Amino acid sequence: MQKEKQKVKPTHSSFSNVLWAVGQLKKYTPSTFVIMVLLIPLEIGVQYLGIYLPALVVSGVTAGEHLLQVLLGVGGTMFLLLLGNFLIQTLSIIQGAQQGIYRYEVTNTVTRKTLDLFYQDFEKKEVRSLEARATRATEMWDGSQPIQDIVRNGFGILRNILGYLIFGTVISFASPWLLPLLTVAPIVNLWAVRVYDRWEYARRGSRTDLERRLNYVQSLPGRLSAGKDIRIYSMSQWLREIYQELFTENDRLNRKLVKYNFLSHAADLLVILLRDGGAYALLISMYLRGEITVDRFVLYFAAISSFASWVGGVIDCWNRIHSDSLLICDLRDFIDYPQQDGSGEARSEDFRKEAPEIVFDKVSFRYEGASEDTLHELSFTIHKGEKVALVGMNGAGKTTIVKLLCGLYRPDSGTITINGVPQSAFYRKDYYRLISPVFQDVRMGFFSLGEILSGKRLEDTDQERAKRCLADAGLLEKVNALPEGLATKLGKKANKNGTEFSGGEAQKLMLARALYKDAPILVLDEPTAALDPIAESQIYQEYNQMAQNKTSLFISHRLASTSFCDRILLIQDGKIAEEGSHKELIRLGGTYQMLFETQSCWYQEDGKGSDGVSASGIGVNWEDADTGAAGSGGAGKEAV
Amino acid sequence: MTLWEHCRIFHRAVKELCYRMEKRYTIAMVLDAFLGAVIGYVPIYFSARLIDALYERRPLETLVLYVALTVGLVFGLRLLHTYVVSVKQISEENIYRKEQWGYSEKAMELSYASIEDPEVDRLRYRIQKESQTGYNLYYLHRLIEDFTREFTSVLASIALVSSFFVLPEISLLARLAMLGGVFLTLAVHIVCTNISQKINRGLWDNVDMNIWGEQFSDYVEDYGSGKDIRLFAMEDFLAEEAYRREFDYCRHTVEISCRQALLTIPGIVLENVLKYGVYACLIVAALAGGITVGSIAKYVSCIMLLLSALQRIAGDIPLWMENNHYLKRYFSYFDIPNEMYRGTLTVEKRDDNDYQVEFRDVSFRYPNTQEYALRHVNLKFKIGEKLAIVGQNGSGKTTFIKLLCRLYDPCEGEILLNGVNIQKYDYDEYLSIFSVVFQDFQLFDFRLGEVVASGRRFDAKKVRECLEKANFGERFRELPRGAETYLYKGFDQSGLEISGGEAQKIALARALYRDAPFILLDEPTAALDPISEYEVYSNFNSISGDKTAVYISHRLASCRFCDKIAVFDKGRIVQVGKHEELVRETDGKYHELWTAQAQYYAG
Repeated sequence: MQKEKQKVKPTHSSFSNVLWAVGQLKKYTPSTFVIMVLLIPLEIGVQYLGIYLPALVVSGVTAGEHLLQVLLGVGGTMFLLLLGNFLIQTLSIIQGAQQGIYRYEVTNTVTRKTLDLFYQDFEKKEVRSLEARATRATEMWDGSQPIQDIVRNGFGILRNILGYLIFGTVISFASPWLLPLLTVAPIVNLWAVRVYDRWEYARRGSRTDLERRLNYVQSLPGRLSAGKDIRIYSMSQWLREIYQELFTENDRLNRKLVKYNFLSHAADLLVILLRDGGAYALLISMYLRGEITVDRFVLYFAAISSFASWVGGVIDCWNRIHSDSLLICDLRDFIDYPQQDGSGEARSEDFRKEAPEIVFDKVSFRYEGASEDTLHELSFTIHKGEKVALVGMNGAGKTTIVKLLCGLYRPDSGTITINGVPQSAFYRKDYYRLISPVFQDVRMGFFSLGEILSGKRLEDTDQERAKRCLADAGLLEKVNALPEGLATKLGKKANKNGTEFSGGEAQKLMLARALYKDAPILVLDEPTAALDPIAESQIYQEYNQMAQNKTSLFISHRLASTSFCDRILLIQDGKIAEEGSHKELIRLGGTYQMLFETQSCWYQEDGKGSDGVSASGIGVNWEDADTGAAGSGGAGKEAV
Repeated sequence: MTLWEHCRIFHRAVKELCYRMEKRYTIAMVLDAFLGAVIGYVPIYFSARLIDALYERRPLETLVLYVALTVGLVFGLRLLHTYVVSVKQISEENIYRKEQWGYSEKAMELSYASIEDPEVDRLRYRIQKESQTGYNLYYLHRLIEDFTREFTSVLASIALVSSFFVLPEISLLARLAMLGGVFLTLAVHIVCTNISQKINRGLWDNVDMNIWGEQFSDYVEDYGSGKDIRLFAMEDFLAEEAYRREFDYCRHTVEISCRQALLTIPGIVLENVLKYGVYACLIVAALAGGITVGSIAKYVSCIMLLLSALQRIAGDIPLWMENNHYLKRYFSYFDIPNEMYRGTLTVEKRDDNDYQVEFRDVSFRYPNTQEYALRHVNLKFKIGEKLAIVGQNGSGKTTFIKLLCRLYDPCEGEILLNGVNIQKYDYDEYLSIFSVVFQDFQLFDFRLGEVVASGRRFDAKKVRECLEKANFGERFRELPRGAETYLYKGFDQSGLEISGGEAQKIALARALYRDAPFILLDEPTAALDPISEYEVYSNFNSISGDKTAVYISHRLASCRFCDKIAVFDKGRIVQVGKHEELVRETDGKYHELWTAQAQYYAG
């Protein structure tokens, strides 16, 4: 592969990002905007008065003015200072708090966008990293918070330019030579820092890799499921050694950084040394020549010392804007990420009354970056009210079919129709109303039971219906025993009075949720893998019950569980390899029969299962495993 | 907490979190604060001298000397300071890494009972979140830094300002008024800060906010819940929930901030009045010729710096006390003892592998639970036997394994190895006679050889043999880097992605590499497709060879190759025997379980 040095071009300019962020701020908290504008002259004014005051005192004393006059002058200035300081302090506190509103509004926009993303996009790596960076733009991290900082720095530039002009004017009174000299000095500093940054950046690659490894090793001992393995296999020494090696390596890199970091800043100090020395020399010579008085000396010197901060401020603010700008671009790109939606010609309402017919017509699907189709021109029909099971090996494409049917993915080609209406004719969210799913991976969240059942706030949950569904799923007793009933929250980490459900109870809750939704299409994706035989058998019966008057699709690699289905589809390599009822497929003597025998040979009384399967055919050393199914072999060979 | 307790905790924190953890950082931090404070006083002192010299029209040499001293000293100190800051900034990473690793070490050191204890888990989660919010380590450092800086400031200010209080030109009354002013301003500041902190306290807990926020974004960004959110139309509910929570917090913060802003008024006013008073006194004195022009600015700056240093110290004390409360909880986690009794007997390494294990009337209850997970369990098995354990979820199968390999100790009864209570053996040595593949086994993303050997160094030949035996040989031979290949991508991004079935085989190879006399398998096939499941069943028997094997499964099918089956029900062993015997007892639990599964395969 050719390595091309491609410079990523930002989608928006830094300037446009500042305007955008300020625009958002103005939209959400107009008063903050006003305060920020007001703060600019206030801060410059106070800073000027701060250096003016000592000069005023010096002039008053040296010029031998009248005491009252001096005191009045100082008092007046101090009163202005007091007023200014007071305003700055109160306004800053209020403004700081109000900026939170702006931040949360933007955060909320991002959250909303994540929630509304089309699932297929949501799963995409590039969208995930875009989303992560957009979130990063709204969060406090390493002392920076891009969306707030970019506004602050935008105003910062204005303030510093204004300060530069005002203080510059004061200094040019002393000597017109000073201004260019003082402007150049901070730019030299900047250059030194740049050199260091570039040097560090060049080494960052190996550092981030090291950091990732360190973080990985560090995360291992805390994993609950790793606790057993670590103890039984005495792995702590192993982990410790790896950690130590990485830590030492990281520290060695860090120590190198100290030197260069120091040198770049030392250069900075040298410039300041020259600047201050030069300014002193100039001012002293001017004083000795009688061009300025002592109080002017004090004023000019103070102005010179603080002048650098204005120039530095402009550069610094600009740099920060520039570095935040990339994240702001990501934020805007994420917010503007195109939404996928259907045309809305059809409405789910018309399909909810009875079990619909589902047709997959030449559906192909390929995962992003994959070299082959996971599903290739797959066609099948599930008739009204039919119960169909999908079986197949891991990786055969079963889950992909489920996701397509649920509308979480969109086919690359071909169509999926519901009662003859293509999926794309529905609005996406409307289409979801047709499906009641139960997935294998249970994520209950940390909400109240009622909220989990309805997907709505507790106040909007139909309590009667929730209880009925819990009863049907065999969970009502448990819920009634909880002091807060449906309002009980799950998860003890986020909720102090929360409760925890066992795996079996969680599975039942998921079932109750599917019942609550009561959609015409039922999709069950391996819901029993972790259950014991009796519980599994019970759940099958419940599903059977549940599937009345619905069109249902059931996925399992436990072939036993498919027997309550009307029809079985065997998926192999993204295609339907075999199709029919259990009996028909067994009679067919194909892959299904082979799979079935593999599982069932253990359950047959001795001898019966023995001709079921060819172990050599599926790459298993069979000879040693003869305790259970003695001497099986031969007959199944043609099946493979 | 009493003051004594505060001091004790603080002392411990300094010792453990500053001194022992990363000395370099602590020293750099203290020096940074000290130098940072001192540097500010150099120009204050010298510019006073310079102004006076100018005003008094001293010779040029004196002026040059002062300028050189100011600029040179500032340069020298700053250079030193910059170096210290560089060291500090860069060793900062180390200290946070070490703190994090402290949790990892603790997790490995705790008894397994504590690891599984949800209370302990929540405690750890809580203190980690508290640390992330800034409590414990971060505030501890900030406080030490602040105290160093402010005390330095106080000392330097007093040194420079002390002459002010002995000036004859300033009346005693004025001096006292100055002193009183400083203390009054300080007192008002303390009172106002206290009120303003009280307004804020208790209403919102930042730690809770952080925990909630993290759980929320985990849920929203997860692939699994992503499906639920969409299919169960939870978008509005979730967005509203987050919005309400955060917006409430914001509005509340704004409201409080307005009140807090008002509370700063008395402080600011007093401060400025004081400053004006000092100015006035000094101007009077200067006009009277008692003090020099240059020293006016010096005195004013120093008094104001003294005041602000005192204010900061006063402001930090509540934080100090608050942080000590958090530190107490922090240490309470690290103080959790490992309560497992650890014996000293060595386990005989018998060449004939002649071991016998006996459960004698063993009962067990998980900590903080009422129900027994195991009740009066009696079971004996000998070397070379293949024992299967079956039963419904929650019948005590996994608990049995956990007791056998001493992840827990029984509450009643005892477990004997060759007639001796297993608690009397050396813990690590006892564990070394077991090879276990748990249902939720973990393979770390390190080199394949390391993973199989569970250690940094491995015997490449033995690794290969074990992988061959575990049926991973074919795939292994295809790997260009062999045992040096990294698994998955967590550690090395060129790592090898493997399927669940392959992981299973590697876990088995790991168990084999250990070459322990006992091999325990806990439900290894739940997530596998029929073919992989079949492979595991058949392999298990071929591999375990003459070793003692205990096999747990939901799939009764797998029991048929075992010599003995123990049926667990509600924590008791209800049946023991061979498959053929048990299946004939039609009123037994085994028959019930068997039928539940076999019915589907009968046809």
